[in-house]
Amino acid sequence: MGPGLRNESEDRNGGTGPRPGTQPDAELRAKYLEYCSARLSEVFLSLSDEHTYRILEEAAGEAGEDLASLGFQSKMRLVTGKLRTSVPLPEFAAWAEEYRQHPERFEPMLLGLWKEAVKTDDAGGEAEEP
Amino acid sequence: MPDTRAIELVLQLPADMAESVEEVTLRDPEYLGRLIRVGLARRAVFQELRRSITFPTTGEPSPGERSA
Repeated sequence: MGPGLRNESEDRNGGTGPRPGTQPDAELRAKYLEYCSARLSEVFLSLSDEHTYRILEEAAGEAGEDLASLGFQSKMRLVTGKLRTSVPLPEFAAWAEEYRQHPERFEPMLLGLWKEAVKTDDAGGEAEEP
Repeated sequence: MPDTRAIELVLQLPADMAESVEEVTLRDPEYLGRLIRVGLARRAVFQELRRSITFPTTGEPSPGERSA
């Protein structure tokens, strides 16, 4: 890379992007969750409408919930729960180590959802309820 | 087909990007809708993982042992 050029990670972080070994835990945890959500979303979005509906029906049945009365967030909660049983996700420790060594491999996958999580965690807040 | 309804969005974007959005919308009117669905799905999954994955406060974090 020539002088004056910046890699994607630097561009996304205004030149003050992550450096190996400098991520605060809260930030790392939030980025891990966003990475996992990207993996699950990728699978979810590749499903046909019919397949999604079948998963939802099954999950709603298992949870004893009435699918017809559920809103978007609740349906996503059910689908996410089902996908987590079939889509392999990395263990946090292994992922964190990999991220610390090569943040540039992961940053392009992140939309920035982690920032809000870090902010609310700092304020003692919690994730939105479905 | 789920119930649908129209919404209007007003966004402030860099001028060149705004032009691209108008161009894409003309060529493929459903594109932005699909894009928003992708973004909302990502956000909803993220929120659910935040709610359901716990990180132990002591010892090595191991969300592999997640609460359901």
